[in-house]
Amino acid sequence: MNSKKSIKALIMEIILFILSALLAVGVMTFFSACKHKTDTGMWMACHWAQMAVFGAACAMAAISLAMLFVKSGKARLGLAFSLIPVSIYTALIPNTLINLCMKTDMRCHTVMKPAVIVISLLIAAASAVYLVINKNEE
Amino acid sequence: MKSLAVKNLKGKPVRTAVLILLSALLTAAVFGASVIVSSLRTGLGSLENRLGADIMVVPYEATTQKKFENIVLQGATGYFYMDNKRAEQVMQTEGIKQASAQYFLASTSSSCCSVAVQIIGFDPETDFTITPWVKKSYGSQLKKYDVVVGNDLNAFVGDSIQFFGVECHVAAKLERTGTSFDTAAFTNTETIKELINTSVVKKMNSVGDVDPDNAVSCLMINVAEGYTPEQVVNDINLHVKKVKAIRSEELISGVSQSLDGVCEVIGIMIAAVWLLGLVILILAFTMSINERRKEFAVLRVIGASRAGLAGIVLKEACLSCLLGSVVGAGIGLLVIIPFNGFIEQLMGLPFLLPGAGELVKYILAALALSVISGALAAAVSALRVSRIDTGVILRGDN
Repeated sequence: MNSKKSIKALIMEIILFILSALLAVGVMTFFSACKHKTDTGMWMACHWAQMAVFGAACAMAAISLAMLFVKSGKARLGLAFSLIPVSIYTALIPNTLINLCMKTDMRCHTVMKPAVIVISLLIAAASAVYLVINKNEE
Repeated sequence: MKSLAVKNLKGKPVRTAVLILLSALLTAAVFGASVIVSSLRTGLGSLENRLGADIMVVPYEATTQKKFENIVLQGATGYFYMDNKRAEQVMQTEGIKQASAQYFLASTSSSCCSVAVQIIGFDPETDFTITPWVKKSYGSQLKKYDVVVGNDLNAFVGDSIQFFGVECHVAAKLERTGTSFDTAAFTNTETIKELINTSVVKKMNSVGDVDPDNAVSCLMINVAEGYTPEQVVNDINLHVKKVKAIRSEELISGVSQSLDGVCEVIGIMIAAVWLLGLVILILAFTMSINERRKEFAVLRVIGASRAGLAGIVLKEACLSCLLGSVVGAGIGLLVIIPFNGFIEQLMGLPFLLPGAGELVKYILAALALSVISGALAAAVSALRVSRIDTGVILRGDN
């Protein structure tokens, strides 16, 4: 069942891994949610949305990393297919599944939410492209 | 010949990718900058529509606050109070047609946020600035503990919000304005007085001991016919102590000047990016055509007309630029639409995205500009290709 990977497939797998890793690292660093309350030190709801996105992004990074090493073409297609629902679920986390802060001019709304949605949807689109260009994989 | 242009593009994927990338960058820059300028202008228009009063009267010490203009003009967080007696003295001034008091308060922590929410209280019976705006979203009278929230507050009709431990009911959500009013809450005099009182009792009011029944934050005034705002402003500033009357136009002119400056810089940048893109495209096409002189000479020998050769070059340019501009417009949309809140924060100016129809117009204009630029850049090369001397080129003399 082992099949030789095409250059296009390899490029798409690398893109998927980069996007997933960017989401995992970015959501904890440069597009993280709001900081904790200065007076009480309590975390706001958006922090838990950030942690949920981090978990899902780590799972996607692991799946896309596995795609680079798995030899079976069908297994790679299965892994690529699994990225689509996971990435859509990730895009829905900020403010749809987990509420963010009250003011939409806060960092969680202006930076974290759009970045998570855009990167998640790019992962979903890239996975769909991967499925289309490798549909005849054995 | 049409398929030949497509085959040429497919046959040299790296060259095609570079052309597409160049065109995408050009389109993304032009489209993004145009939408930002348009959003700033729409934001300023929205702010002007929201003004409604000729004059604003505030306590004198308020004018020393850092964000004073933003507090009264755009609903930024902050508050100050003046004695009711001063407000009554102001109302005695000749030439006042309408006057209504407003009350400001910033919550220290509302339900979930560490960032304050500005609460603006107004008297529905005398108000002429907020009521017309609120009426678009809420036709009934506000009851005690009812609040109307700005469009960017993550609260919806029927929700409850707590300010200083007082539970308020969200009666309506307002239209977007592109200013800090979008993150403010509006309520009637009765509720705001209760909230100010609670903030004082809980020692959460930075002003200290304020008697909400004897204090107002700001007076909004419309001037009667036969008087000019300047006359009334001078009269108030001369005769009423510890207050400052300001013409609304004067306040907005600062925002307007900043906006003009920003728009000018962005305009210059668009022109510079477009010129640079055009020069790079001309160079790219010239270099590419120079490399392919023999290919065109062979085509000429096997019967392609001069116009046909020029057509191939132009079609290749238009196709690659069209593809690139579609990619560029997509990138522009992916950045501008989701990150508009972040751009608004970076600009620090009223920012309101244009509607879908307007956005489509900007996309089409950017696509047209990119394709025309590509065609212009390739035109020189197309002309040279149509004049090639096949004999000289195939002999290898040049």
